[in-house]
Amino acid sequence: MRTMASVLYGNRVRPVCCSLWKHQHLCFSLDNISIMDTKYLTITSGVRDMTAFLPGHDIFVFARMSPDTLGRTAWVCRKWRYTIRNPNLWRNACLGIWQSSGAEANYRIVQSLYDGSWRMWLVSMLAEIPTHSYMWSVTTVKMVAKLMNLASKADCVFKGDYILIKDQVETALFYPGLQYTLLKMRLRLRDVPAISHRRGLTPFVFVPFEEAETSVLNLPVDKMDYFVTG
Amino acid sequence: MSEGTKEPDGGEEKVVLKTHDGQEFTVDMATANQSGTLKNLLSEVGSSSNNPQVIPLPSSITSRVLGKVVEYCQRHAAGGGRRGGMQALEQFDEELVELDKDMLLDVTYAAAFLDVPRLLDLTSQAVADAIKNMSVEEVRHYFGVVSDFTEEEEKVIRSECPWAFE
Repeated sequence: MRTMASVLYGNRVRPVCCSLWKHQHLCFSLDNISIMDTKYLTITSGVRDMTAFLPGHDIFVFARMSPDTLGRTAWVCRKWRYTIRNPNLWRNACLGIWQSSGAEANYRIVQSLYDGSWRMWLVSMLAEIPTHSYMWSVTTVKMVAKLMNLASKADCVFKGDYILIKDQVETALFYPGLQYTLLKMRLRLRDVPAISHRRGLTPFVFVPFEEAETSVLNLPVDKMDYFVTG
Repeated sequence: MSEGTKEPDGGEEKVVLKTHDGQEFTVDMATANQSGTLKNLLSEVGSSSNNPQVIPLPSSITSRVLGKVVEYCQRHAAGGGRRGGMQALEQFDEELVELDKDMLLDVTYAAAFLDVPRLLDLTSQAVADAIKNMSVEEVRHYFGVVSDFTEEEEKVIRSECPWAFE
C-alpha cells in the first residue's frame, strides 16, 4: 500500500482513504496475487468506484486533459486533488495547448523564468496575448477569470479597452456579474503590431479559452475575409 | 497451405487467458505479446501448444472486457498488412472505443493492467474526451465518486470556483 501511495503522491503526502485501501486488500483472491506482479496488487479488486480502482491509472486519463479540464477535475475528490498536483500533468497539458510557439521554446521559457513550475507559467501565459496580426484579441481571459475565481459564463464574449505602449498593453474591462468587476491587466505582446495601430484606447474582445486557436476573432490576416484598419 | 504443414491444433505457441467468470480465451503468442504484462509473464514461464499456460485474470476483467482487449491485440498483432491496412486499423481503433461508460472504464482498466500501451492511449483519450466539458458534479456522477470533502470545504470550493460547477 505504501508503495503505490508514495509513488503517486510523494513520501511527504499522507495517503488518504486508508480504510478503502485496506478494504481493497480484503477483496483479493489468492490466485490473482500469486500470478501477478505485486505492483498491480492495488488494482485487482472489483470496486466500481473509479478513484478507488484506478490508482495509478487515473493518471493516464489526467495526462490527456486540457489545463481547463484538469483544473475542474481537481475538485472531484481529495485523492484526485493530490494526484493533479503533480507538475508533470500541468506540464503536459500546457505543452499540448500552446503548440504554436513550439514545445522546446515553451520548455526553455518555463525553465528560465518560472523555476520550472508549469502551473505558474500557465497563469502568466494566460495573461499574454497570442497575436497574429493587426486584428488581435485576448484569447485567454476566460481562464484568467477562472483562475481569479471570478464567475464566468461559458459563452460570454468580453469586451474592454486597451492602450498600447511598445509591447506592453494596458487593458481594462468590466466583468459582468452580480456586482460589476473592473478587471485590469498588463499584458505583453509576443509580436509588436504595426505602428499605425497605436491609437490609444481601442476596443478588444475576448474569446473562450478553448477556441483560442480556432475562433474567427483570432484569425491571421491571410485567413480573414477582410479587415479594416484603425 | 501453411495450415497443412502445421499440427492440427495450429502448431504455434498458445496461451489461455481465463477470466474470473470462467471463460477461456485461447490466443497465440503474437497476440499475447501485445500485452507487456503477459509478455513478461510468458518469458518466464513459457507456453506451448500442447500444454498451454493458463493465466487467471482478476475479477474486474470480465469476459466481455477481455474480448475487446483480445480483439484489439489480435488485430494489432496482425499489423497493417496490405495497402490501406493502416487506415483500416485506425478506423478499427476509433470504432473500438465507441463504448458505453462502464465498458470504457473497464477496458481502460484492463489495458492498464495488461499493459497494452496503445490501447490504454486510446481509451484514456476517450475517457478524457468524455469528461471534457463536464462540471465537477457531472464528473463525480460519471465516475460514481462520492465527494470526500467536508461540507465546509465544499462550500469554500463552490464559492471560490463557481465555474467548475457550472
